[in-house]
Amino acid sequence: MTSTTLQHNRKVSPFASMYKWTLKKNIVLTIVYTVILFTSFSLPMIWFTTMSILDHSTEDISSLAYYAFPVASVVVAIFSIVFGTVVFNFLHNKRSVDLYNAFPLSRKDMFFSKYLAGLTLATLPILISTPAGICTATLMSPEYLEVMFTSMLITMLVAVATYSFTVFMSACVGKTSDAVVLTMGLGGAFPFFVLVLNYMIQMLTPGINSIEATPKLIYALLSPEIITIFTTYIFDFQNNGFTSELVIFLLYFVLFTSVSVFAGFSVYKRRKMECAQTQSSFKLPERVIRVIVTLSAGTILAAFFTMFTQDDYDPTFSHIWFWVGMIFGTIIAHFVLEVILSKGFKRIKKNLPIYFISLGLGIIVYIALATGCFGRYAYVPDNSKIDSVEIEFGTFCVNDYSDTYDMLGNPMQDFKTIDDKITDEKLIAEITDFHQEVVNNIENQGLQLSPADENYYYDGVYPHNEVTIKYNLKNGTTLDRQYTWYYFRYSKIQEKLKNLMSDYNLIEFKLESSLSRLENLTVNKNGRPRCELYGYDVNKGLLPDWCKENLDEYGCLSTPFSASYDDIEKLFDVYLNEAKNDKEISKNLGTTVFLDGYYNCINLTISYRYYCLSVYIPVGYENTLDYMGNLYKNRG
Amino acid sequence: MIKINNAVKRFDDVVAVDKITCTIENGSVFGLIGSNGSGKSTLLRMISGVYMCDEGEILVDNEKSYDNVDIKQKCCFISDFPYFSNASTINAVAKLYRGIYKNWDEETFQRLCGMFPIDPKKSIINMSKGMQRQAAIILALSTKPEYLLLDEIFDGLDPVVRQLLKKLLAGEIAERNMTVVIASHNLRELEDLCDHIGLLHKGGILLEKDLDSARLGMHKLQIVFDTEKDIKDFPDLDILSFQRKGRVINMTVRGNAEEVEATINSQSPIYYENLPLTLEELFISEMEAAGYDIDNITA
Repeated sequence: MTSTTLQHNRKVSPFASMYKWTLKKNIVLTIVYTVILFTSFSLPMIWFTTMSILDHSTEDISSLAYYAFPVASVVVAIFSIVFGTVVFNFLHNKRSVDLYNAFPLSRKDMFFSKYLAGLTLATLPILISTPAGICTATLMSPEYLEVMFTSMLITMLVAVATYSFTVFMSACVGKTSDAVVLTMGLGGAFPFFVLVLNYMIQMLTPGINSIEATPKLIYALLSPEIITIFTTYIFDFQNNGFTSELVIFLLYFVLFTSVSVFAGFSVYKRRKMECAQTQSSFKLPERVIRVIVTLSAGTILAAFFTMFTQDDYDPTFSHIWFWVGMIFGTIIAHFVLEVILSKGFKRIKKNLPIYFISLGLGIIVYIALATGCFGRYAYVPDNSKIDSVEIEFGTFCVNDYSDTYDMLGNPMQDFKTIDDKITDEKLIAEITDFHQEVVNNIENQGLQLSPADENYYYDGVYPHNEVTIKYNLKNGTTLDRQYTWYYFRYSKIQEKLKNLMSDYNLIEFKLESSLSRLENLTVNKNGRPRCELYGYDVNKGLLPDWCKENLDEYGCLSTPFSASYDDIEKLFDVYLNEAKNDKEISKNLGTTVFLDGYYNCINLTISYRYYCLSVYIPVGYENTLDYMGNLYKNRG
Repeated sequence: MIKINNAVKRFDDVVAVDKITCTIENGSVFGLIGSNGSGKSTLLRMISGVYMCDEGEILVDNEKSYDNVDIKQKCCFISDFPYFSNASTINAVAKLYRGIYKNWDEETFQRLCGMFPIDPKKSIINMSKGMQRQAAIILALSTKPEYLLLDEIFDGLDPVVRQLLKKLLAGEIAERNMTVVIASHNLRELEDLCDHIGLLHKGGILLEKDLDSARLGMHKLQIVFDTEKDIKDFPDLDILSFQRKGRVINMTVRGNAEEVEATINSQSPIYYENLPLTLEELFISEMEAAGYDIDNITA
């Protein structure tokens, strides 16, 4: 061995050489990624901050950041998939396989040098391009610095998890296009599949709201791309910070990443290199996606077909149509998957077992659920096991005028309900009796998979309503059931419902109210004139003393106050009396009125249980303001 | 030494390599010849560790080559279509090789770059097939391998470069006792270079011996008789091929030269000559015996 040989080869290891080689090969793509990320994230931040400073605006950055991170995450997720396929596409070409696998690198070194190079390429642009935007934006809103940097780290987790998952897919398949299809397919199809499965469960098990009951993490199990959607919109990290659920969610994806890397390496180590450009080396991901897409398509078509049979008297047809739809849907999905994954129909017979497995799973789920889900949906707990019950009767706005009706069609000005937690034994017994009646009726009438349209007024029960019952059991567990109006349309059930909603059982509940920023609203009071008011900034000099003393920096009352329904009703009476005497409004009563700019108004927002009501009270309405001041002083 | 013991390789239902057993000694130039699809390239990939044996084993210096870093350091494989990344120059690829191969010799690399008519700064994939192959040869020889595995290396090279390559290989073999395994259909070039051949057909090995021994056992004869003769007039000969034009017979026979001559002379030929057998003729004759000949293919 010559000295020139020794001198050159001592400097770097084969691992480092392959790592650097991979970085160098993909440097152009990384630059493109960095530019796109900077343009989509940091540049709007910098622009917005600059314009705000120049305009002397007081807008904070939170709303921009609320949308900017998900947008950045989409870019990050896309490029993470790109790098996961590009770095490992040497496995998908027979010629490159010859070169790379003849190199004197162990499979372990080859895999991890490539993996780490790709990881660097997928994450370095985030570290380069996002801090500029974050730092600039927090010039305006320094309190968001910690949130924004943490959001950036969560975005990095998106990159690492998505990249690692894509690497695993690349190791499984024979072609680069299959890696992309499987990664995006599983990422997109799985949450949809969970939703569809939950819908099927709800169809087949009246009362069980599985969509609500399913932990959010289940939806994201195989979808690292949607971490940021969950953290931003569902967990609302920017406002709520690290809740325990969010922490579990994030920890799961750390575990997901680790498993993806381990699985990717295991598959790579065992991979037969001759599968390049041909079939998959590890067929499990493809089989999983076939099952979930086939079942999803079957369930969707089954649900669609059952809509043809809203026959109230014989639910048998809904089940027949369910299976017609299921079979059609699964067959169509099988053909489409063959075209996409097998690039034709030459393997259609070979893949028939997977089709039958999918259909078989659907049959098993159907049988389990349609026969009562092992007694779950018919279960009504014994009164002695119940600690307390929470029951809600839903109502719905029939029209734009905020007219409301209770479940029996009686008009009401507010939603009256039973106390939050019922512990009265007699009332608990009434509730379980009502619940049992509903369950008995379902069993006797048969399971209708697609109940009648909710816009259909039926047998004295006003539609759009539902009852939610939550049992807090003595063993610490809870049992939730939710039934739509369809199940209350029989006289015996209505009788029991009426008893539950009688005045004896209802309590008056307090309304919360608070001053807030000005916004438009509709005021209505059954049969009285309707007015629409728009308000403007308040001149604090015109406010009554009780307001001035208690306003915070945003012009809101520092302490919200609650008032009884009767007091609010009287407030409205006082207010409308003053409004009638107001020359500008009185001549236009009954039609829409727009107040001119010289009116200064206080916005009173009243939060009911199910909706908000806002009222604009001009500062000249002294009686109204005085009355409101008394309510405030005597607030409960 | 490379020892191949009952090596088997399957691709789905196709048996590409079917229980091949042979030994390749150090310092030899082993020519892998065979019909299309006979398993030559597959066998080379198995030796170089790209493919794993489904059954049997392949040992290089008494160790399995598959996923064996130390053995792979001694080997270098040039495939029939060498792969280069987009926009890579030979200098850039050399940098990778330099870091990976412990025995990389920069001096050899520079010398070979000067010998072959190749621009080290130009992107390799934009070069012709022949130039790409030259680049692969330069890189491979610069790693100073003990075992050089070449698949269709002469394809695309002009005659001058072929001569250069043969000279370089001969020099390396003489200097370092390098072992070369070449798979090729270019039997004319192999004839000059190889001292051993392995003849493959349908995944199996028909013949594996040194070239001279292979030739010794086979004879191409041109004979003229005073009457027309047919193949059945020579029942004692192991005839591989038989062609007759009037009284002139050209045949290829297997057997001992003296015994064959004696058998022919017993029939009193007017003219008898034992002609030199080329590797191509050897190949065709052996293939005909295996049922792989033009008459069988076109039938």
